[in-house]
Amino acid sequence: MKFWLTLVTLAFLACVPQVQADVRTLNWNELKPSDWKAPPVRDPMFYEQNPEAQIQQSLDAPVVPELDGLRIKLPGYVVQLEGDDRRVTEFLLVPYFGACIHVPPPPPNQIVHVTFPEGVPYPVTYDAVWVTGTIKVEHKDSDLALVGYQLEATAVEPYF
Amino acid sequence: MKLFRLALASLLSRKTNALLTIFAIAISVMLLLGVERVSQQTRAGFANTISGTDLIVGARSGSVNLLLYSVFHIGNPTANVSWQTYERFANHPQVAWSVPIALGDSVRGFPVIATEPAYFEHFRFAQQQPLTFVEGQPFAREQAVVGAQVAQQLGLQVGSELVVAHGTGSVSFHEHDDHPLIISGVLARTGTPVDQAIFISLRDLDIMHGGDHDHDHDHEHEHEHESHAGNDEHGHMHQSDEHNHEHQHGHTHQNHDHGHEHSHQNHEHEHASHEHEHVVQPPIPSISAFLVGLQSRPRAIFMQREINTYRDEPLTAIMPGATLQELWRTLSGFETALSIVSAFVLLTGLIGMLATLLASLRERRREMAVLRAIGAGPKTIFTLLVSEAVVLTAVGIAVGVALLYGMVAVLAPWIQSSFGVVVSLGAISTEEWQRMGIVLVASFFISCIPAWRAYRNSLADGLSMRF
Repeated sequence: MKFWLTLVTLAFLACVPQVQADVRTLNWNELKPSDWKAPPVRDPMFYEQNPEAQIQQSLDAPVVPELDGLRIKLPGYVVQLEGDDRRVTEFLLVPYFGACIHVPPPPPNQIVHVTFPEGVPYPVTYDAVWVTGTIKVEHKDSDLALVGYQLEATAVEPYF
Repeated sequence: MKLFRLALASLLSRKTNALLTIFAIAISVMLLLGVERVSQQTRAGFANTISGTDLIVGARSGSVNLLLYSVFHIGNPTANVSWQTYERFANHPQVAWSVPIALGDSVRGFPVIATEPAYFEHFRFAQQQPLTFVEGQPFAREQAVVGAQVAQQLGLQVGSELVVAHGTGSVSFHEHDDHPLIISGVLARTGTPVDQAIFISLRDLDIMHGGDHDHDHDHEHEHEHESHAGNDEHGHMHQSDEHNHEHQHGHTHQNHDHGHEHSHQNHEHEHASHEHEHVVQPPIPSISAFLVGLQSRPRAIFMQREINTYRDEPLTAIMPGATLQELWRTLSGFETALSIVSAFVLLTGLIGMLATLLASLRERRREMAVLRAIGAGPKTIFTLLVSEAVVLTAVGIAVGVALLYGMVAVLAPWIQSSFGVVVSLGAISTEEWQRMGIVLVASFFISCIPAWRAYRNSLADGLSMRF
């Protein structure tokens, strides 16, 4: 009995730090190579005057392949792709709110395509969220999927 | 048990008061449950109406407005999208499928949606469910497909004739009766605005609106959707030299495939204006909106930007999910307000009950005194009053639920036809049971106040008459 208890305790002790170390909290800068600079987000007026800057400029923005398969935690805003009357089950996670309406969308390496079958209740999506899950890096040759990162979420919580 | 019978008998002797109290509680309970139920079902109805569509594109307007008119058939389009623009995006390499829709007509108040047969293939509702036919098949020329509700209310089936009216009122005094359509199919019930809709081909709509009849032309070519003059008059109003200039701009900033598109487009325009013979004519000069499915869903965010910044025609592209999310966000304050209002309604109901009980206490002083004189202790009096209140509330709740179901049964068809929202007579949900429980418990505590007063009243208090 004592032996088992010790074993369980040891196993538990071994597990806990590992689980914590496993989930890495990222910030958006870590999603792009350090030598790459995202195009600045400007005032909507700027885009009115410079129509050529309107559309996503850098669709082939570089990603960081080393992140592939990591369990990460990332904050951001939810742009719904699919959902039902209570929850959002598939969404794009973007670094700033209102991305895509008045200014160009963030470059592909600053958008994460999240699937979360359990679903995020709508009230949570009204503000920033923390998303935890396993990240996958898109292969560069896939021409169509222009979002750099896929994330299978295991948890989505309010940021505040 | 005896006590209960006593309470009942006492109540029966004060019927009017008791009935009014029950009614007040019933109304509050009905509102409390009804507000929640309607807002939830509205939500579900809205959320289930569209699925699987990545973008909806219409003329420049508000995103919610575009969503409402294109999917829910509420309100009207602000302006139209030219067929050329539609074709440009329909042939975009990122677009997997696209379906144009043109709105504005009706049959006895049911909206007419002019579209292409591909609509039935691509349109999805409630978590990717496709539309299915109860009988028949998608429309061909001079045919129509009707939703379940339309078929039921107008008594239509495959083979029936239908006359489309101009405008969206329930009665139009300008009917396109020279152009009757034959029903080719009836859709299965979906619980979405599709049930209310009538689907016809774009070409038929154009002809009804005075577009060129092209019967002879049709027989010559297999491409059914062709008309000569229609295009010239409407479609090319937008074409001008300025645009060529714009296109050149376009080459510089857009990536390769778009550039291609542009030059191709230019080519086509020139053809269109100079050599009528070889141009594929649009079935209709302009459409209200079009639904788009993309090769890759996450790509929607970029495609949306591209469409919104299209320089040749002001357009608005929305991601239906994101717009719904925006709508919920806008309405969340409203929903909170509604539940606060219903909570206050309930509070009013309970205070009303308290007032009635306190008033009746004065009236029943002699009754209490008599009861005590024949040996009822203060505790019995207390129990009597509390049990009376709880019984009143329980009956009130039951009546309230019955009223709610009655109201839903009566109003559901009206709600569905005016707002496109299906309110169903579902079972009572856990949350609703909870709310009813709260009401009952609240009534127990509230009734303790008069009961306590009655408990403290002395025996002599009731017996000695004071005038």
